Amino acid sequence: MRRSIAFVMGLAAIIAGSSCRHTPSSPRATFINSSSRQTKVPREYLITLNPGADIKIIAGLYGRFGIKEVKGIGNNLFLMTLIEDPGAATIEELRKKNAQIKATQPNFIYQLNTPAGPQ
Amino acid sequence: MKKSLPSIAIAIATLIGAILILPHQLSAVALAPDPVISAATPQYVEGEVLVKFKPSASLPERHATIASHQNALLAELPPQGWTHVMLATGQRMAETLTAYRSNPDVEYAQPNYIYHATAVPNDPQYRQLWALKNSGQTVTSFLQPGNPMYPYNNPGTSGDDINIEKGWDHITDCSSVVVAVIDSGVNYEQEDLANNMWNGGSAFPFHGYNFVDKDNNPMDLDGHGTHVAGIIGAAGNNAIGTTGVCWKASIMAVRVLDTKNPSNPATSANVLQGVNFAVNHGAKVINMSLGGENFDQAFSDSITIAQNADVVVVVAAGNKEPNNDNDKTPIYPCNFRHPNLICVAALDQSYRLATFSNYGIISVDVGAPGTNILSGWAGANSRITDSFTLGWITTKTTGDGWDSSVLSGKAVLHDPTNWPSGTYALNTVDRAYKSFNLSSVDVATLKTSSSVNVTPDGTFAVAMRAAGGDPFSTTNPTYLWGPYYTDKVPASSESKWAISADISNCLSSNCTIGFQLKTGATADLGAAIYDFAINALTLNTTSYNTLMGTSMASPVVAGLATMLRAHNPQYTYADVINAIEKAGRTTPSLMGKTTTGKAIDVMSSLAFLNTPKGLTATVTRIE
Repeated sequence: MRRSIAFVMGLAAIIAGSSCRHTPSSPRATFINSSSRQTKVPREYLITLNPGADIKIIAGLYGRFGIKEVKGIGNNLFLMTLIEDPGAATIEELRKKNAQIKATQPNFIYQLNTPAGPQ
Repeated sequence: MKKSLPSIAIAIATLIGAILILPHQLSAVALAPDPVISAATPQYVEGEVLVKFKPSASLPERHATIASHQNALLAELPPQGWTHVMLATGQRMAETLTAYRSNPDVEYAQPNYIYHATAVPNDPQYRQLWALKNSGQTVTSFLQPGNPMYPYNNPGTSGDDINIEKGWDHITDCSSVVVAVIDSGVNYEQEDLANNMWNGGSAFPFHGYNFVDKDNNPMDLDGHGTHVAGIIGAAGNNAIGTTGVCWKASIMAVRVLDTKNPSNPATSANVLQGVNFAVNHGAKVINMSLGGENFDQAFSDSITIAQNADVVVVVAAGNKEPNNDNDKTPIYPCNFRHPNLICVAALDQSYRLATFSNYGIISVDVGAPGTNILSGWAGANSRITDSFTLGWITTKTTGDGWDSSVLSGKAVLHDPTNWPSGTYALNTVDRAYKSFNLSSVDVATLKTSSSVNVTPDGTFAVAMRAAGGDPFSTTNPTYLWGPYYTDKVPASSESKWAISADISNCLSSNCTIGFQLKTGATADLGAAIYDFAINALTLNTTSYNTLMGTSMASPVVAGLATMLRAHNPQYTYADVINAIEKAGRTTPSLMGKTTTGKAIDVMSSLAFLNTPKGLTATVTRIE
């Protein structure tokens, strides 16, 4: 009975995390430090599925972090936005546990190649 | 008894003959550049010959000879004896020339050859385009005349350019090949681009796609993409503005960069979708003047897809001075090693490697002009600054609050009033805000820097409100920055937060920008705002700008790739890249810095003969 309740609660947590938008009435104050230059978008990952894989596997593996959105961008590639970011290493470790996912990577940031902007 | 040639020798001779008569466009062994011969470029006037009669032939005798061939005399040409003759309909040039040459009264006969003046477009800014024609001119900034952006080697060295004028004698129209500019978008209404945009039909009426806003309007809200597009294919010889490498082009605009978001201008997801869009909609050349620091497998895979679709991808090497060596500090996509990808470094007006340009003897392929490059722009830039002395409304709930001062010659808005000598009031909510009229602009970005020292029970925030009034007084303020508290950072001029926020949703006549310091039970130094500015862009069709960067060098090569594909429709991506790399001009500043040691050379690339492929020979012994 206890195990059943735990499973249901766990499942409810995954569903809640993956389907509910995190929109507080006012933004939480967050700590910001000086190392704020990003080379990748926080909480965003590109997930490549193997051909024929079920997209639900993404929620199954990563729902524990709260999934804000999963959007297909072609060629079995999906842009996943999480509510909490466990880091690329954790994302990749979880991928290895399921053969349906071919690859994961952060959503990297690119800059213009112009050293001086417009006047 | 006659001896016959050995039969094998006959077969070999036949093979050699077959090779010699192959049309030049087939891939062949690299030879010294030959004059470009194309069915589109006739060498002589059909049906006309010039005949030089001997001095002994009188005028009646010359006319009789011409009449005997059923030809018509068009003109007697000086010096005496030359005649301009028109053949009868159906007469063959070779036979007619042979007939005249065998006449005892004729010294020689020849076709009426065609000569071309080296093509020079009539665009008014052409003389500033040193990349296309370097006459040793001084190039100044278009928007700040007299102030060159890149001062080194300006003026440069006459002749250090991409040798394109001779190339324009052979081709100026590249519009049969779609070239995708994957960038900040393109102002497709810019006067020198409007007629050179890709026809996307009813599905893509604005000539491309916008992956930033996920709609089909890739209008450039920055200028960079428009500038790149103009380098490739600004309309040439139209008496307007500049000209691109191609006078006529088919430019696909793919917006993946949002320069209003400087912390996150472009992402893997947007860029690879942009590549896939370009490939799926027929682009055969892609230009990407962008770079990132991480090896990106998904991006790499999209370039592989482009390779499989026979698309040439041209990318910029990057501008990471002083860490310029891409072989040590990779920049992607430049450092990808796909065979359909070519990475470009920037040269200055004396064909020195630009000081800012990245290079790499393994990773960077060729050089092209990239300093003081004039091209189209998306609109008129403007800047609103503020000294915090007029129009600011301040509110406070307790204690001290916001004030403005001049510190070390800089206008500063700060809280507390004695910043940085004291601490802020406890348990207070202090605000300062001002209205700005942004109704006439299309894009606006707030730029400011701030020193912020707030304890964890307090916050600092920046907000905006399009309807005017206190931007923090609504239920859900539109925050531009924060609310944050920050670590203890000395309130010195070196310890500032650069705040850059898109305020394009505040383009009203009464847009308020405000700062709020909200404190708790502990105090710190507070907040100080410097260098307040609103950078704005008003879109128009007539703007131009001068930029520098490998961003500018890359599209010069993309333009050449497009031209090569238009001139040789059967070329593969390999043929195009081969022609660009092998036929480039050896440039000392690029040797040891790039894979080829060469700068691109348009005319030489057009004339280059690629190595033959698929050529087989069977030598058969004939008994």
